[in-house]
Amino acid sequence: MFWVIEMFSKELASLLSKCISCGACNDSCPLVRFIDGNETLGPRARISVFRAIDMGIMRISVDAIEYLYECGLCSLCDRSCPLDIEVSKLMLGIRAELIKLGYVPPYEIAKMRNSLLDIMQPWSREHRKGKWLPPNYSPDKEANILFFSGCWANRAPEMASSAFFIAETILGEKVYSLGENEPCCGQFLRIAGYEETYKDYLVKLREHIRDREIARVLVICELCKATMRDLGLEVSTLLEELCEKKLIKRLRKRRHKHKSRKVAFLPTCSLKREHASLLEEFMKEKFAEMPSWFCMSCGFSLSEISSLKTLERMVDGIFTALKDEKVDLLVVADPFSYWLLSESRKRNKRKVKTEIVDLYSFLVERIKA
Amino acid sequence: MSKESFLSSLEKIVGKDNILSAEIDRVAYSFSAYNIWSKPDFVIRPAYPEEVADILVECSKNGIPIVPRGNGTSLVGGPISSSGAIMSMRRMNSVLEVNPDDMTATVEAGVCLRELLKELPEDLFFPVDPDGLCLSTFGGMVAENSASPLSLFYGTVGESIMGLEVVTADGSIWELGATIPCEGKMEKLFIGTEGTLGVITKVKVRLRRRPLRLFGLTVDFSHVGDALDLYSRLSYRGELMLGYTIYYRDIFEVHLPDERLGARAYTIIPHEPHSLVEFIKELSEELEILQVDVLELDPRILPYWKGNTYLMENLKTTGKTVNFVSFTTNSDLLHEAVSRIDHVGARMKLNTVTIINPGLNWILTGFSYDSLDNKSRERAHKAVEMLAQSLEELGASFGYGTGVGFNMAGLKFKELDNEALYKKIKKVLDPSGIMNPGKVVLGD
Ligand SMILES: Cc1cc2nc3c(=O)[nH]c(=O)nc-3n(C[C@H](O)[C@H](O)[C@H](O)COP(=O)(O)OP(=O)(O)OC[C@H]3O[C@@H](n4cnc5c(N)ncnc54)[C@H](O)[C@@H]3O)c2cc1C
Ligand code: SF4
Ligand code: SF4
Repeated sequence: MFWVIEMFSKELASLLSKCISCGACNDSCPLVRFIDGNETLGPRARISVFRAIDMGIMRISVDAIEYLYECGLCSLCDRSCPLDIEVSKLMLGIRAELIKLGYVPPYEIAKMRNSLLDIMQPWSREHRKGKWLPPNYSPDKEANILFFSGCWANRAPEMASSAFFIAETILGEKVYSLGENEPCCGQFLRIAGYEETYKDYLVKLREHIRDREIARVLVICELCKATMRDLGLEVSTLLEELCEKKLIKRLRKRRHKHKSRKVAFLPTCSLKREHASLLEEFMKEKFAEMPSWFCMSCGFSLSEISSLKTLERMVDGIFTALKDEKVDLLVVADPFSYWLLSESRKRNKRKVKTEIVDLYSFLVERIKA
Repeated sequence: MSKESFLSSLEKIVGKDNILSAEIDRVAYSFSAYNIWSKPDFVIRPAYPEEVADILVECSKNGIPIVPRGNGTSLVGGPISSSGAIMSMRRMNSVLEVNPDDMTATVEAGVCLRELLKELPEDLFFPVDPDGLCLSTFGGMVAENSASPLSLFYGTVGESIMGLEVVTADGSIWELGATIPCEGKMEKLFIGTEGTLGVITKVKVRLRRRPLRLFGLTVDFSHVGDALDLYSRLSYRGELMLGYTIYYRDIFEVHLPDERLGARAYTIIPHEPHSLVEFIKELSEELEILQVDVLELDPRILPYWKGNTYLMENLKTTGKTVNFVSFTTNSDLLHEAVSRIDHVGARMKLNTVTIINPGLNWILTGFSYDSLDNKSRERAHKAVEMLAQSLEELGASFGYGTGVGFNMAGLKFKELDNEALYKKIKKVLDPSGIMNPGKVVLGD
């Protein structure tokens, strides 16, 4: 018999206890899939561990907190639970409750919070923003569509500049960027579980970006999209805009010599299947079906920030999958995923034959304005 | 030998990354389905039968208990251990061969049903899916000799086994089944013995041809006795049924709150249902039938287990979990067994979920409880004990399909000859008693 010590709120505890440990969710978790089928990495075990903590079977520890932040909140597992348990929301709820109880997230995440509060950027000032803009760029005073590039795209400047180029070229409306004054969207705070800090941050952010009336916001990152929504702004990703408004057809294709090659596409979570089909149609490329594909956007970026080893192992697994599927080119729609995969490829000089390109540079390469 | 040097000898076999002894790993591998819990000392993850053999030799030498774990879906706490090691079989997850002409497939023991189904041509399938979600591994299914509703026609898992590779505690690797030209096939020893005699590493199974048409008939009754009666009448009539399952009362507790509904029978037939429906309707004068529904099913989507939907709906709405008992008894005692379940449930103030397969004489029942409430948890445990004792008087045999697991360990029953002989065999194959201790024989 064990003691229920009720560490978490009734609501969380009852969600944890609702799980029957059937394991239907494990199959879809990218950590389990791309690493090696180890139960510990999957959602079922995550629930078991935090239930054990709630029951007093296990003590909360630095390792357990790190373990909590390993989950990418990608919500792939949520879709396969027969009891409709949303593991990603549960993990997020636990983060928030632990913070309220006074526990501190992994060091680098806590440091990032301080940096956000201090300079509205997750990293030090050295990571200057807007380097991808033309020299002497100054925003058009008339423009009222904000192109919000996001922190990750600023670390992958080729992606930001290609996306901005496409936005300026095809919308037929004036688009502007905040350049080096662009703050972080602050979504990291929410997914790290800093609920209250995030709310305060939103107030600050609203002040910071409202130097003019914003009609709409264009983003390329799902994290930024979530924040803009929370600010009550009309927002879409550039890719959604291209596909939903069929703007993609306005892009005139440069004559392109097609090599025969296998191309895979890594979408973001809000991208619909029709969007991928539209892209395929436009590019005259058929994207290879990949097993268990997913967007690494949200939570996994926190794993990167806190240098969690599991993420490295998952990236290794992804490269192995690309190799097994004989993929020549991987087109990535999410800035963090693009940055992570291309950096890991460069850093380790892996013998990965697959080329990696961000979606917008891939499009720019083939269009003429 | 100290714990450290023992673990380092295991590291030499499977590599450091495949021995997990951190607190988080031990907790991660401590739960099986329905939250039955017990924490092992460490977890080991072999990838080859030779590694399994070396591990068993080391564990035997050092008297370390070892419990194989498939996908942890056991309803009765099969793959958990309070001391020693959990041996996770999930790295042995290759489908080795699918032979459509021969209608067989050979898989490593850690392959789960979902993984095999993906590799099969459209017209073939494997007929037993115990958990209803295709998650059980072949090692687990063989060890439990799992059953599911279609077992009425296709038999339990054991009846689809063509051969096994098993490793015994002395490190011997045995290829069983394929070559012995006599009736007494030795692989049978390892079917349904809950991994207590050896570790299953490879399984050769017989596949079945997918039926071309399928119909599901739902018949609602006021009384469970009538649902049992209908089964007898249909089988007497020679009706070809792939499955006939009765879902009893409380399973519909919240999501189908029809006061009159006492039991629902669900049968699957592979032919036009017209004459059968007429026959059932004619019986309405004798049996209290509330409603009959027919649905043509898509044969590509296997109607393995309708009950899973009911059970999941129940759990979703009540937020409760269940403590299960699985047993068989004589067909004429099934009704009495159901009354006893009701009696215990009422006494312990617990709802029950009960699934009856009259053709297999099999009842899977469970007491649902609130896992956040220690008192209700204790009552559910007590209810299992009371029910087991009451059913023993009826000559029930426990663990059909699911094994007896950790959940019923410690309950004392009269020893029968079967158990006595099993113990002798166990002594020979596993003299140090390290293989899955405490399972199979109640009161052992
Ligand atoms: C919702 C739900 C409903 C279910 N309904 C049914 C049902 O109707 N009928 C039924 O029969 N079962 C049912 N089950 C139970 C379960 O699916 C089966 O018992 C299944 O066979 C277990 O497979 P597993 O791979 O998960 O094994 P585990 O649960 O991991 O292990 C089960 C047992 O097998 C042993 N074992 C596992 N692998 C090996 C191996 N390679 N060698 C030797 N021993 C091994 C373990 O030590 C343990 O004792 C249900 C489960 C769920 C979650
Ligand atoms: S949210 Fe994603 S990473 Fe987290 S457990 Fe579920 S599938 Fe795995
Ligand atoms: S699928 Fe749902 S009930 Fe099953 S283990 Fe995962 S979270 Fe728990």
